[in-house]
Amino acid sequence: MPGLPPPTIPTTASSTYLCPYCRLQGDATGNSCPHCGAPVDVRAKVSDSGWEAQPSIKDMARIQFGQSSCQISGAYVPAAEIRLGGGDSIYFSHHVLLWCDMQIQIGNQPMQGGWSRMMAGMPLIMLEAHGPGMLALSDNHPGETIAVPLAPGRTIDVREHRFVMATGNVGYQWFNTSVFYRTRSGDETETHYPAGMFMDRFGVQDRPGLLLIHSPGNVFLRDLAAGQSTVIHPGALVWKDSSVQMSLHLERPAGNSFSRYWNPSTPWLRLTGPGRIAMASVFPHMEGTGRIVSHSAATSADWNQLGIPRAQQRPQQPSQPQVGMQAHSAQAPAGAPGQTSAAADPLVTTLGPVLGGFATSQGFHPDAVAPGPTAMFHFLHDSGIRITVEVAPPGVPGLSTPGQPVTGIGEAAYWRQEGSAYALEVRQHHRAINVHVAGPMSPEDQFGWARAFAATAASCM
Amino acid sequence: MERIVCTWCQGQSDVGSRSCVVCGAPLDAKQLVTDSGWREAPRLRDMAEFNFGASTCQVEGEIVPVAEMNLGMGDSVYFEHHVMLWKDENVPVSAMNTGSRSFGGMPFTVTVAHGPGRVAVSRDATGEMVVLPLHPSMEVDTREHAFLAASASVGYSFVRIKGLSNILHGGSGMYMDRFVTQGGPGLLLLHGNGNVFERLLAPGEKIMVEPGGFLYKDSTVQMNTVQLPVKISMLRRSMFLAEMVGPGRVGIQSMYVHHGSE
Repeated sequence: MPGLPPPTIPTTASSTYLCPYCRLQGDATGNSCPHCGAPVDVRAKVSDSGWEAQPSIKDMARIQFGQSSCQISGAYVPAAEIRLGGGDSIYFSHHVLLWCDMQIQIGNQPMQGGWSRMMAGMPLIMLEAHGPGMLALSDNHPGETIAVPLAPGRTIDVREHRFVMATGNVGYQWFNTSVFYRTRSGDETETHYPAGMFMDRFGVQDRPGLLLIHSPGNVFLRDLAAGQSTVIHPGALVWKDSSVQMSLHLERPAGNSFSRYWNPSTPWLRLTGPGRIAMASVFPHMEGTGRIVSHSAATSADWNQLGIPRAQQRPQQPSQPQVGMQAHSAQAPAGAPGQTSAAADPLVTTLGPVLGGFATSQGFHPDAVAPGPTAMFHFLHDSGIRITVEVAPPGVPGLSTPGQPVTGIGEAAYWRQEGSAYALEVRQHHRAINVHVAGPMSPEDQFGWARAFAATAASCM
Repeated sequence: MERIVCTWCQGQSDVGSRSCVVCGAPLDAKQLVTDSGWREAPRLRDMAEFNFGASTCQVEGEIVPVAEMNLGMGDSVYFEHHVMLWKDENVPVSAMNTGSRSFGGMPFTVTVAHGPGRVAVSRDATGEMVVLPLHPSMEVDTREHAFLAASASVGYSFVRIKGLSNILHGGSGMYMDRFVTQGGPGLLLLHGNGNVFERLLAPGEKIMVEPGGFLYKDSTVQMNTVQLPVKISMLRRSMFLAEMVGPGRVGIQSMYVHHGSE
């Protein structure tokens, strides 16, 4: 079905808008969210695996904070031009200052732990600027400048050297990541910090604050459910909610006896929810680790022992933590002919947190449902959109009669009308799911939502 | 005959043209100006073409743009030798001796390519190509290594940055390139890292700019070094900014080398 658009983020009313990126309500009449600058007229772009692309802030978009405003200009290396109102202030690292007018008051903001920060290559002294006046800040890497509004009580952790500026009421701390491994060459032992030795932590107590971060390349977001984890390149992490736990994951590729003796590992960063994470598409290149003699708490996978899956063999599902499903899963009758219990179905177990995380990131809520013969996940949006993901039991190749063929999802997919609602069925690896969509929107948008949920589910099949 | 005036270079193009024939700027795109008055350099469209003398220049690519010049008979352009991307085999090149530039870490010779034939130049960093058509009797100063190419009608010299504090703390190096036109117009191509913004300062108007962000200015704009009352290291090193005093244009780049932190 070519030509149909991907899903849109619906607005609940003509004048209010719930931004899917900062999750704050704002005026929908402008072109961009007044809190984070994200465009309001873009369609959500979610990869098959569930990573959501953070849209670039449009050229000349304005963000309001306190009595001040910030205007983002440029596309390759955006500059943030800040008009500070009287009584407002911001702080930033001195090397991001691009220009300032003659009225702005700039001073030092001393920091604790200067020696440790100097040893770690972190900025030693922050500058603070007090309004009224104007100044502009920019990083020195091609990439995206993203705004993260902080609601009272929220704290986020930002990778070192990504911070651009924060409003004066945002609290700033830094902490040791405690994610490291040590290698030895001869008599020399070297300690490596793949995610950086320190991270910056920002939070606000009583009033909302604003944080600007610059990331090389493009930025992608993901919401992890409680206990759900993912592994990423350690250098790609941009920021995470403080509730997201971080640890080392070491993977030893299969090899010959020499490489087994040398024992090189690939270090990954394991991030475990609940919370939001953001990663960048540009990250520092890492050399092979060599022989690791000690490391921080880590999980590991040794492909010499696990064995490499044969090409003809269906890849094994990555091990997912057993977590509570975001959506209700109806229990299939135990021992039913041709079926296994839905709760024992590994696909259902895997789909729960993945679909839940994706649905939550799009503003959906799990919806209660009566038990039925097949596993179902129900999600309801405030705007009235209802999504149901139905999982066929193992051994049942399809759920209904095929409709119009859809390419690009699974081995086969079909789109069909069911009264006033629509359904998209995806078949892959002898399993089938059916995504039912109902709600006050056009068939094109219904298809967009169905495709987004189906693609998310298909990545687990 | 009705003509369209380019908001970037004031050049005139035929009605219906999509880009300016003098500088290549899109004519059907809105000029983007920030609240404080910085205007974005026009983002040249891929394959935009403009004229100078008997030659044409076509801009290719958008992330690291390439300037492909088709030189007419008798025309020539000059550039630093390491920016040349390719050329027709039959395009002769010669060297322009630039003397003591090498003491400032700049290329000792500047290469001159003579028409007819094609030659293409590009820098090696993500950024924007800035096209500055120079009217007769204009002087423009640019930061070192920002110069991409210039037509032969543009005189080339370099000026030592005045004042020891400017050299030591200014972050713009020891020399600035100076481009001058005499009786006729000329074309100057610059490469700005990241995005490029320009602001027109009124007589006596001042703005402070991070020295690494400085890209170009009219020679009428004075550049001074100003010490801010802040310390940026444990050794209590001070922070310096470049104070630009009008009248004239100032161009800055958003991705810059911060000499104090490199």
